[in-house]
Amino acid sequence: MYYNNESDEALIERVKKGDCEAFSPLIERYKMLVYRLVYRMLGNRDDTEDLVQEVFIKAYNSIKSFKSGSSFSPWLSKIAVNLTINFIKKEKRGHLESLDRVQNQISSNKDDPVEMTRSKLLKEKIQEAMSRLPEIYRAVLVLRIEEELSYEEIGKILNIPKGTVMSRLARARQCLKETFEEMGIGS
Amino acid sequence: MKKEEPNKLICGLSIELLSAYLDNELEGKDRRMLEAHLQVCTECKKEIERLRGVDEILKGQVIEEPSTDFVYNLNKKIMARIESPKRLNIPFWLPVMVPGIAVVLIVILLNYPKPPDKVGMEHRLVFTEIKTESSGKAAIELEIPTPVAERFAYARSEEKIKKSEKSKPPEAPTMVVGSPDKTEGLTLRSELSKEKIVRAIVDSTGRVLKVATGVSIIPEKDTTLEKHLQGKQLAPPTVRGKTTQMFVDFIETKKDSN
Repeated sequence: MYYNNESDEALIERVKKGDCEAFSPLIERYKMLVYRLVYRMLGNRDDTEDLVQEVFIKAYNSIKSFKSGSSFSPWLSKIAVNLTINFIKKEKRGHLESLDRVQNQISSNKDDPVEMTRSKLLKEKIQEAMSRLPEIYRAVLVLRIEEELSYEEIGKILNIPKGTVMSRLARARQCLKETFEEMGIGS
Repeated sequence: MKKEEPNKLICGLSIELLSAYLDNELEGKDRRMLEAHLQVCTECKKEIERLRGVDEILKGQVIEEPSTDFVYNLNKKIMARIESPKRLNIPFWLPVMVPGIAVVLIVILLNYPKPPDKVGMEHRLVFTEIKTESSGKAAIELEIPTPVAERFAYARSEEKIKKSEKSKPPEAPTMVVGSPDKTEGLTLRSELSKEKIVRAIVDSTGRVLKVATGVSIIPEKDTTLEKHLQGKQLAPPTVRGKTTQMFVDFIETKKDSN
């Protein structure tokens, strides 16, 4: 495809002018970034894959609101985080039920190495601890720790002041620290 | 979710400061002040290590690999969803106009019924006007003029029959059927005295094909009458200027015999 060598900005301009084919290389470039981001917040592959698709559709439909000259990645991350937060809010009940099941599974399989390897168990525990965090805390944590974005960048993505990013991050870390201690993670 | 605890440490320092320090977001005076504090406060030193531990646990978490379907088909799926609405090129006003267009079409269809291809009960047409003329002989001619046909529901036709029944004189009515181009007519005074419907199937050239009589919705075949009427030539029935085969109901009329 001749588009592959073009910059994000050039591709976005093409898409804005109605050339939808130019959106395809953008999907290829950013699908894993979006996947990682959403997965960190959801911890579930199937839901993540579905949501990634929605993120790109939303991005395509709102491409006219993208300001020329700015970076595509934070703009896309913003869409991904907001859609994931909405998804979590919508699915919270069902999600918590499934987490309860996971928790029961963890306790029942705790001493059985055949049923569940130690790393898998740890992963599920971490995921459960994350799921106990309110989605707004989850979002700042993922953007800071996983994506290593600055407070300013996180603030832009979530549309909140830098000071709010700082306080939410501190609370998120504190909550997670206590949950990890409670679950015996990292001790 | 646990209740949030006060955001301060025993030494009175805000956890937000420690968290920001960890993220390298503290600058200038704040940074220098905190670094000096960490030299003397073991509580804060431990806390900062605990928070760093949280980050390490999260960073160490392995992300499940996406499915092969995601890796290879995501682009196609998204592009299909993006392209399909564009290809249709539906004008924005169309969804609003669709119900209106549907109503107009329904009105048009109701007002312009298609002439029936096949003759059936539902397509039965009743001539509203039947002109009778006396030939001056014993037999009386019944002429079906070039018809002005209207669609009638059967119930309406029945109603007409009932009405004519009400206005019926006490003596038995006479149904006279004949051909306008023949001097010899057919008088069925006695046989038809109790009949309410005489129905003929007339082909598009006006030739009588079948004849039935009766009082029910579907009259029975009347061999005697059919024998006399079959092949008779009437004016070709037309509907909206097109000749067509149709049912013709001879509405019962009382004839003033000479």
